[in-house]
Amino acid sequence: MTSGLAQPNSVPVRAQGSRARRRALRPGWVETICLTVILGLVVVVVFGPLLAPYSPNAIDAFAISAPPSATHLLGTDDVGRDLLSRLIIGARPTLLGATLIIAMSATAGTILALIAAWFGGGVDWVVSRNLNLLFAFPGLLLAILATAVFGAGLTGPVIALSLAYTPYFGRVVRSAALRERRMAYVDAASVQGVSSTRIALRHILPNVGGLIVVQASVNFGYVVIDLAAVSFLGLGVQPPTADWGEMISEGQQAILSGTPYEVIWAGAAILITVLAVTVLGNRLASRWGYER
Amino acid sequence: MSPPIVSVNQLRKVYSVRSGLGKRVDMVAVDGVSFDLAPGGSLGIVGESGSGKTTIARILVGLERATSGQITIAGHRHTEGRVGDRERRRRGQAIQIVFQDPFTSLDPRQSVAGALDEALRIKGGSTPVSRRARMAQLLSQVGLDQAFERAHPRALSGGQRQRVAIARALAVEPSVLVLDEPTSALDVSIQAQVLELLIAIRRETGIAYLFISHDLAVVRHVTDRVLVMREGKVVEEGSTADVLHAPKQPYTQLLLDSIPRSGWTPKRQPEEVSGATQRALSSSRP
Amino acid sequence: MINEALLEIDHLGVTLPVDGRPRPILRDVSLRLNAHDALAIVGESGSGKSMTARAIMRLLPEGATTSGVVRFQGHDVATLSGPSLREYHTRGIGVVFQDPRAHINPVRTIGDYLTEVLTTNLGLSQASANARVLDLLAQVGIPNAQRRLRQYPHQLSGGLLQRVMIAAALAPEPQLLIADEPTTALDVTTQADVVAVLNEQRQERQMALIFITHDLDLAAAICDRTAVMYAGTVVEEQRSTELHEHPLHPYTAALLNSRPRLEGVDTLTPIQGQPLPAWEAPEGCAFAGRCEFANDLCRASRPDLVGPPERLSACLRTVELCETLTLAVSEA
Repeated sequence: MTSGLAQPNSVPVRAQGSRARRRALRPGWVETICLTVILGLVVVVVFGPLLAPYSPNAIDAFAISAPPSATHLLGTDDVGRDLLSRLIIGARPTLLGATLIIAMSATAGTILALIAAWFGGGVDWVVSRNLNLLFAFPGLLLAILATAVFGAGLTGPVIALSLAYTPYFGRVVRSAALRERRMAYVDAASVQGVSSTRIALRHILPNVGGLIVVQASVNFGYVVIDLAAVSFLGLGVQPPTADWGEMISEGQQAILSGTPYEVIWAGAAILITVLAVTVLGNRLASRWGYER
Repeated sequence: MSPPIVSVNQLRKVYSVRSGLGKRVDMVAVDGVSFDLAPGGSLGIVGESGSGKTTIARILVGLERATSGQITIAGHRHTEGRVGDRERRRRGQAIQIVFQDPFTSLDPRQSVAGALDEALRIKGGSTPVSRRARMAQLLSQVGLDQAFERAHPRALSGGQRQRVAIARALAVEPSVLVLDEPTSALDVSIQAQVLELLIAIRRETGIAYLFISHDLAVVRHVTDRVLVMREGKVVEEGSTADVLHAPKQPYTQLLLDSIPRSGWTPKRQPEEVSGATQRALSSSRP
Repeated sequence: MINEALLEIDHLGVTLPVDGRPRPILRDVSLRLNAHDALAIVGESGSGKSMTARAIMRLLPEGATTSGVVRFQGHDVATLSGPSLREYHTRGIGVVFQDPRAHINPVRTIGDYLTEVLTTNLGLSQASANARVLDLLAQVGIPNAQRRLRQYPHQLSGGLLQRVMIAAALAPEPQLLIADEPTTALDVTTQADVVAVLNEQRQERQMALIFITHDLDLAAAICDRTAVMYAGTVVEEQRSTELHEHPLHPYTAALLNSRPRLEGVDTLTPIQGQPLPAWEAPEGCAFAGRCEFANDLCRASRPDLVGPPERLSACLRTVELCETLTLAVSEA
């Protein structure tokens, strides 16, 4: 049933400059380096035991505090354990822990933000006050307190840091969601009778998704450092389990005896990880036009 | 005489705003407005900024809550309380809206097919096949080629987007369509296309229109009756022909006199009138 | 004795990089303006009317390349720089934009804004600048001028603020005022008021005016001549009254007929298709795709803007269509 009248004469042309848009998605050299590093870390985490030349707890009595050599590429610690292996295996608690924390805090923060933005009014007030409350506690302090509740190990710190980082996501997603909420297309969906859940998931969330990714990359670095600090203090991962923060802790004394390798390698690993993820996050932010 | 499809009685909307000094001031956006819309009829609401016309439109479709007054749409009384998902869906079956800005009324991430499908799913009991068929029908009804299904809003011009917005609004087969300045953001030559489309749709489907506009010439072509609003109140109402050609109120005459046309010269407004309009403008937020 | 035009635009072309590729926005625009003329430039999206204004103002976006020349009082505008450019922007041309709020600093008072140009560029003392500004505000019809000077932009309505912008543009007493859709964002009653002020000021000061709009009637109300632009070029230029009754270009006639009108015929006659920007225009006449009179010749070669003065048209069939077009707009 055509209303026989003036037809718009052009079927949509491929959006202006779609080729340019694809060109814009291609990563620059900085991003490529970061992505390569991150890919490398993923490989290390997934295939750790296969890559490590030795077991992380295997002791080589003939090489105590040994400098890098052919048999021990990164040297050994003061008990004779291969540092390269410990570094590789130690990636797991640190990186998996950080990933878990980011995932949980991002999810919790986003859900709270969407609820606050959609319902507004009193609900928003309650959620915002709670988020502010969480902001007030330094993550590290919460993590330390959590070990008092859960005992040593990663459980406490992971839960605590997930709580501590929730408001960082919550706040940022909330303002973006509030902006989206005001868009005419959300009004249109609302008038159509589309359910609130669907509007939140199909219309608001995708348009703030990029923001969440950027926040996740930027916060990842801080989380890694926080976790390492917790283990450094001896409250997270317990020896003899290998972990980067724990390695820094154990390697302290060795610095004074002139063999700082443990600290250097673990420190470098943390530094490279944090750099790669944070730089990538910042690049994505400027490319997608978000504030960091 | 069948009952009106929309009946509004003493509608009032008051906003409580914080004035510069931190005091709360009441701003009356809609002040005791009443009107009826006949089934299949077309009623225009004209006014300048601050007249309250857009607020009325938003209240009718449920985007804002009235402070007081009764609204009856398709025989169903609508309350002022908070509206849940089910109530929204129900209201949406009877009344839909097309917004002014074609660039923000479509989700940039959703294809045309996606938007129409979402609307079609709301009415229960449909299958993917029936929805596809209906989608094709809707596109054809608004004069868009089937190839537009896969397009995203950024590939579409303003006129094409408005057509999609109209198709989306018609998808649930409402009895009333609220049109909030649907052509104001479009080029002149496209305006005529979309207006003609709207006229044809009403002729073919018998849907009723509530047409909000600041442009009296547009209203002349699309509506049978018109309300003239100023600062929240109805100043004049009647058949479109009567109001436009034999206005009874000075404000209506002022609006008519301000429209550029052949032989027209712009005249400075007497200070009193423009002062009042300006006060309304500076006290209301767009 | 050469009749020196105030403003001459000769075969102006402007290309902008869009998504990485250079695209023509203006294609061969030629216009001429004498010292007291009022010219309206009318067009829809993509016509290039705003870009033409920006080319005159020397405010083209980054990366723009131009061909052709814009001459103001005989000098090529592209060669101006530093002091001469500043002189051009103050005493040469004045500009009123569409959205006043985007062009005025919200954290400074109206008074500061208005006197700034006078004190910095024209070297007036604060006292004489204030006096001149008060006078200007009175001329543009703003009561309580003293009080207004101390107010901030957000305290004024759109219409008032636009009149402040007009006052600001007129303060250095330019020879040419360019108004780029100055009333599009205003209510119709406010529009009439602001346009009346513009008209009055122009006549009193004997200034030249370029008025850019999409509204043909508004154009005719204050400008003696109207130029119609389509797809980056001028397709018709005539005296406004003539243009409305005897259009020379099919686009002009179609545009006149497609407007919703308060009087006359009840039905609308839209133009098929949609307006094109210059870079989407095919070979031949840019309007051919939508023109009911287009023939193969039209589609093959692009017509130039030709004709006797004040009867210019860029249509190959303009002579033979003359009567048909007149008839078409008179029936509406």
